[in-house]
Amino acid sequence: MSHLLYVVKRTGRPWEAHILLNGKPAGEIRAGREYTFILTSTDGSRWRLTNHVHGERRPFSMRSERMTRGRRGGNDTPELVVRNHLFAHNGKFYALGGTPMESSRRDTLLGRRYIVRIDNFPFSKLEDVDDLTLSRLVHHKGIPVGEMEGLGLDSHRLKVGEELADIGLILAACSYLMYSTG
Amino acid sequence: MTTVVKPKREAGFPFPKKDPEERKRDFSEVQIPYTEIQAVVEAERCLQCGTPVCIDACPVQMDVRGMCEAVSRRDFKTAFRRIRETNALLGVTARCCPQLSGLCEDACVLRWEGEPVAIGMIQRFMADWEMKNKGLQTPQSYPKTGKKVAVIGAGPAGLAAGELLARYGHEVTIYEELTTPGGTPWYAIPDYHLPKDVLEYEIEKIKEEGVKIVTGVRVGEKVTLSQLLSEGADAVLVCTGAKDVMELDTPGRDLKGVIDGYQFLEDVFVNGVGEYLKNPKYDLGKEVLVIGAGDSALDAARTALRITQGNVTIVYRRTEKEMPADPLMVEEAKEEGVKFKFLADPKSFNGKDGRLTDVTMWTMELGPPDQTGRRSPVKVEGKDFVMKADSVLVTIGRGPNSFIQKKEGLKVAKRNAIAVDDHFRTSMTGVFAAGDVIRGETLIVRAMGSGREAAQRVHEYLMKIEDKHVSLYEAYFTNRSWELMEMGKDEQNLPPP
Repeated sequence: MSHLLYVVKRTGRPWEAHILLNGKPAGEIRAGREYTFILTSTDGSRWRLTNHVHGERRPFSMRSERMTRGRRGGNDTPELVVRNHLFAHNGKFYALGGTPMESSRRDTLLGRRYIVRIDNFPFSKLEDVDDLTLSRLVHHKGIPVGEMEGLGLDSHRLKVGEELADIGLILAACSYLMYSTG
Repeated sequence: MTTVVKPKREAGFPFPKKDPEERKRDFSEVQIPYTEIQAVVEAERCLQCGTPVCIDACPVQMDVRGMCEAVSRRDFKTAFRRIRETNALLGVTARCCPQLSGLCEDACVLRWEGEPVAIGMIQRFMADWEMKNKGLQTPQSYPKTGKKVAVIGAGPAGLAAGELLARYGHEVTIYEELTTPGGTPWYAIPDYHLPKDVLEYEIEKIKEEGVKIVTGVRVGEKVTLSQLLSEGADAVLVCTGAKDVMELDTPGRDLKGVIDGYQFLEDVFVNGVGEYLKNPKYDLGKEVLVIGAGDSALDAARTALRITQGNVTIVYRRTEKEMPADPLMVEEAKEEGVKFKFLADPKSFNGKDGRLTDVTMWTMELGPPDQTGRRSPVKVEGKDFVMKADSVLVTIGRGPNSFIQKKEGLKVAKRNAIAVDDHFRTSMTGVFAAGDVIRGETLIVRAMGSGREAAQRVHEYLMKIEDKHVSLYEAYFTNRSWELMEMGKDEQNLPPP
C-alpha cells in the first residue's frame, strides 16, 4: 500500500506552518483569532480549524469546516471532527496517538505516535462517546493506519495510508496544531 | 530555524529510583526526588509552548508551563502559587499520576525529539519545597455566600470539590465514613508511592481554606441525604468513589488464603503500614499469587513481596502487551522480583482442611479483539496446569461504591454508578455526584477533575447562574495565554472561574 507523507514545518510566526506532501508544497496554516486557524491547500481550497467541538472548547480536539468563497462562515457540516484524540471517518473510528495492537504501551511512551483504527468500538457517533471512554482511550488498541512524529519547530511528519488519504492534509494540520506546535 | 532541544531529562528516564534490592525490603519511597538544581535544570528544558499541551492533558488544568517558567528562574513561590491554583493535592498527584500514560508528560512536545520534561518530578520538588517552607498563601476565594454544601466522601474527588466550593465562598462540610480522610490515596496507595504525611499535610491545607471534614460518618446509614438537605445543606455532592470489588466465581474461592486484594491493601495501609506489621492480619505464606493486571494488582503484589519476602507471581489471562497497568509500574515490579505468569486464569482454588494449597489454571490464548481493541483471552481445553500457592490476592477491578444509591434510591446507570446529567445532577433535587461513583474506577487526578467540574455546577446551581456556564477548561483556555503570563497579569491571584 502506498503512503502519503506530509511534512509540517513551522514558519517564523507562532502556529503558522507550511505543509509539504511527498516533498512538494501542499498547503499552509495561518493563525486567525481566538485559536482559529485557516488551512489553505495549493489548489485554493480553504478550511477553518477550531478546537470548539460539540458545543465547547476541548483539549486535543479540532473541527474543520470547508470555507466557501464569498461566505464568512464555514459550512455547517464539518469535514473532520476530532474529539479528545478520537475521530470517525467513513463509518470507522480512529484514535490519534493510539497503541497498535501488537505493541505494548511501554513501546509507545516516547517518539513516534500512531493513528490506529479501533474496530468493534461500541459507539456509532462521535458525539455519543462518553467522557469515561475518552479518558480511557490510552487503554485502547487498534490497527495502525498512520504515523506521526517530529516537533513542529523542526518538522512534524504525518504518514497515512489509503483509508485516510482523502483527509490527509487536514489530519496533518490537526496533528501539528494539537500535538507539536511547540 | 533550528530549535535547540535538550533531548535527555535530568537524572535519567523515567526518574531516579532507589536500588530494587534495597527498596523491596521496606515501604520507603521508590522515587528519589530531584535536588533544587536538578529541578531548575529540568524546568529549563521546557519550551514554553504557545499551545501548552501539557496543560491540555491535565484533568485539573495544572499550569505546568507557568511552573516550569518560574522554577527555571528559581521563583519557587510563584511556581507553587501557579500550580496550587487548580491542584489541591500537588504532592499526591506528583507521586501517583502516571504522567507518561495519557497525561502531561505524554503530551509534552519534547517526546517527539527525546524525553518529555519530567513534569511530575518538578511538581514533586515544588510540593516538597512548600512543605518545608510552610505558610504560603492559600488561593484566592470569593466572599462568603451563606450557602452550605455537604460533600459525601473525602477522597480525591470530594477533597478537590470541597476545596473549590470553599473558594467559591460556600460553607463546606465533607462527611467521610472512615476515621481518616483521603480515600484511595490513604488506604490503597502503598507508602512506597505515597508517604502518608504528604497526604495528611495537603488535607490540612484544604482545611485551612475553610473546609470542615467530619470522619466516621456513613451517610445513608447514620444520616440520610434528605436529612442533610432539610437540616441546612443547600446542596449535596456525593463523591463516594469506587469500592465494590469484582469477584471471581472460581470454585474454591471460599478457602482460607483466597483474599480480596483491595481489602488486603486497605487492611495494610488504613492505620499505617507500621501498625499492620506489628500485628499482621493475613498469613500470606511464601508463595503468593495475584490475580489481575491493573495498578492495584501490582500494588497488592509489591506490598505482599515486601511483607513476605517470598515468591510473588502476577497471573494474567492475556499477555504483557494487553496489561492495563502503568507500564512503568510493571517495570518497577519486575525490578523488585515480582514474577509474571501470562495467558493463565484460575480454574479452581484447591485446598486441604479448608486452607488453600494450590490453584489449577486454565491455559489461555488470544482470540479476536474486544471493544477496546485488545485481543480477548480464550480458554484452551486440555492444557490445565497447577501452581502452588499459600495465598491468592484477587485484584481484578472495582466498580462504583453502590451503598448510598441503593440506600437512598438514587437512579443508577451501568454497574450501579450514580446516574447524572451533564450538570452532575442526580435524580434527587439538590443532590449532585462526581468522581468514580459516577464513572467507575479511574485515576486520582481524573477523579479530582470530575470533582472540580461538579463543584462548579453546584456553585452555579446555588447562585442561580447555570445559564452562564463556561467549562473550567474553556475558562482556563481563554485566560492562559503566554502573553498574559509574560505581562504578569496572572500574578493578580484571581478567584476561581
